[in-house]
Amino acid sequence: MNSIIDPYFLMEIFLKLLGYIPMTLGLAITSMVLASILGLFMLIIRMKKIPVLSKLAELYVLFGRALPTMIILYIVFFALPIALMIFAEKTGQKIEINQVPAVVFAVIGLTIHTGAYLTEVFRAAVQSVDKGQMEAAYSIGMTWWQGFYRIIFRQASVFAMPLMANQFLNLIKSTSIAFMITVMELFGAANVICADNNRYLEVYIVVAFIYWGMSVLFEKLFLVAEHKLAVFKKGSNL
Amino acid sequence: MITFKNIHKSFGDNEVLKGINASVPTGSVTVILGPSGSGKTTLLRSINFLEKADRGEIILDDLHIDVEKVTKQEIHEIRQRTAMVFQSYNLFKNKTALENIMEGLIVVKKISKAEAKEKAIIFLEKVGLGSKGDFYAHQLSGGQQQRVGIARALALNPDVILFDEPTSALDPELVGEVLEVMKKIAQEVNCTMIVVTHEIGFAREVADHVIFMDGGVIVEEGTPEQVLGAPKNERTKQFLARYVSFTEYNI
Amino acid sequence: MSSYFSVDYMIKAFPTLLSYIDVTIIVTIVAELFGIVIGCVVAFLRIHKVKVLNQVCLLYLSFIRGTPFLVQLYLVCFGLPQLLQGLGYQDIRSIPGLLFVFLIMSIHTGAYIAEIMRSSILAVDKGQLEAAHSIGMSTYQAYIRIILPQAFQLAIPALGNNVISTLKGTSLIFNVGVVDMLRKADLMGSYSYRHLELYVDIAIIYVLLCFVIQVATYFLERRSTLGKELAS
Repeated sequence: MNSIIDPYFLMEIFLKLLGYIPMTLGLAITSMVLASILGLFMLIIRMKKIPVLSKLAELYVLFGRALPTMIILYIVFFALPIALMIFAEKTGQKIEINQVPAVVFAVIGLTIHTGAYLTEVFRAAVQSVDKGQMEAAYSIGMTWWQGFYRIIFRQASVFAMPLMANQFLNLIKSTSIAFMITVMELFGAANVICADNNRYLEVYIVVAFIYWGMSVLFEKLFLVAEHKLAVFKKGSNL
Repeated sequence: MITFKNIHKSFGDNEVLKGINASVPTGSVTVILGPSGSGKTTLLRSINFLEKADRGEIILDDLHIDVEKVTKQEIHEIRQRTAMVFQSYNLFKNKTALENIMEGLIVVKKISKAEAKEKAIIFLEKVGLGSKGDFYAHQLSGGQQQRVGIARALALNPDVILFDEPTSALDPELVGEVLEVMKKIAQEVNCTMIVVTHEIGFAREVADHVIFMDGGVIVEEGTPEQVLGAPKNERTKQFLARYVSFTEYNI
Repeated sequence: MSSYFSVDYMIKAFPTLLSYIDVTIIVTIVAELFGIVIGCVVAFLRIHKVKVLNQVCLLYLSFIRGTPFLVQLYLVCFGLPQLLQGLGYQDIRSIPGLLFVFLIMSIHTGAYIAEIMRSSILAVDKGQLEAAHSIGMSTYQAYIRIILPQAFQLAIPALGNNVISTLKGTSLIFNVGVVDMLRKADLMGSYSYRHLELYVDIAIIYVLLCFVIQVATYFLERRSTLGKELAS
């Protein structure tokens, strides 16, 4: 090794790693979509104050936010097979646990983690909507669902959007933890390359720059989207 | 005809309605007056269950509701047959003025979009805002927002429109335009209006019936001439003395 | 059921794992302390738009916030030694690995604290700095004696959250050879094959630590607002 950093080698790793971006983004996007659904579900449970369930939802948010992503991922990774085994035993069905790809565990873990944060984001967003809006919806004869969907949800989305974007940026970074449960995403692939040639410095520089690039790109993208959205908020000092 | 029987309501230890009995004839304009904290807004809001009274009965023509045993269905029905104009306008912020009016027509009355739009334009013109259809709430003045709020309520063709202090949040110079629209509606539209307000001038000029409330009870009621011209109760007299001088100052 | 999840084993393993909590706590405290120093300096450079350094700070913030902590950790703990070696420093093995962990965690935390301190400093009344100048203090003196103490009071809740994030970050350092609770769990699990019990134990410890930090933040915040009330 003559020079510390070999530019040709950097290029070579870069091209190799580019192929793993879809996996990383796929993980992030899938988990984001599922977490949004989960968060919305939790939000409605809490808004409608459904007994028991709403307490459970609170507990979920508490733990989901207090636990490191890594630990949630590990617990899912080790608990889910056991749950499946118990399920298989109880129902007599055959489930090949080994056939469940690690990606599934990663998506579930990341969804649980992000979902807890999104529940709080959604709650804050709904609280940001003036109470009178739901009253007005009721006053013209709408049901709770109609008022929630047509009025509250849409106004709250505008508030939630930047926070969700932020959550997504965090999620992209969190996907790197998935390599620890053997998922072959960007960082996992980088580590495999390292194992082959022991050139940590170059590989990790390249992988860091790829993540950095993605973050900056998505940040810019969300900023543009935010400006396009929220016509009804333009000029208002809300 | 809308009738209250023995309506009670407490917030914690504070009893704000202590057994209200009253009726409002169909097509009439009834103004509820009273100092703040007298329970008048709570009474109004208990009609469409934005505030659920603790006990009593609310009767709207054939719809007979025992407040304690009220079902979701009944709440939904009375909300469909009434409409409300709010103190803080509460226009849907994610909708334009026109869409605000169309919203109830499409979602609640299940009218087609095109028809709803046609209808909404008519009502927007009725409140003198024909040119402001595409404006969002924050682009309108308080008075204009409130006029859209009135159009939104009117368009649903409700049996009763509830006005909850419709001019209290307005700058003084904007109060006139809203009262003007309300007066016009009272004359043109055959719909029951229950108005909670501090505008004694409006009550005197437009109301068929005036109810004066204080401390959670109805102190006095009758025609404007009776209640405003020759009040019998001491509390009414005191209230009027204060407010009349106050409003006339404004004019 | 016990064949799948042994509560006995979970309880038995708990004290063993708990005995490694000191590593987690020490790393968190070191990262937080150095992070605060870095954060304050960066915040100062940003607010006063110091030439060149402001641009460097922006780059630093963007990089740290735009890349996963795990990648930063590997870059510093595996990449940096290689760089030092390449630069001719051969005695790399004599540097304790924990030092690299302290380094990157402080740098990482510093970036997040910089933004917290920046907004807190900006939230301190402008007149405070002017008043300090008016009695002849230098900017440096004004910051140390007047601005920062006030900014810290405003920053307490956000700093509390930051400590929790840093704490959560420590769950990754076992990857670079630090022997903490997670590394211990890894080792114990490879003998007992009861990973789940061990990670549930660790989850409980993390939740408890989070709770302690939250309570501490709450009391600090209350004390500071009380102090303000007494003063006014």
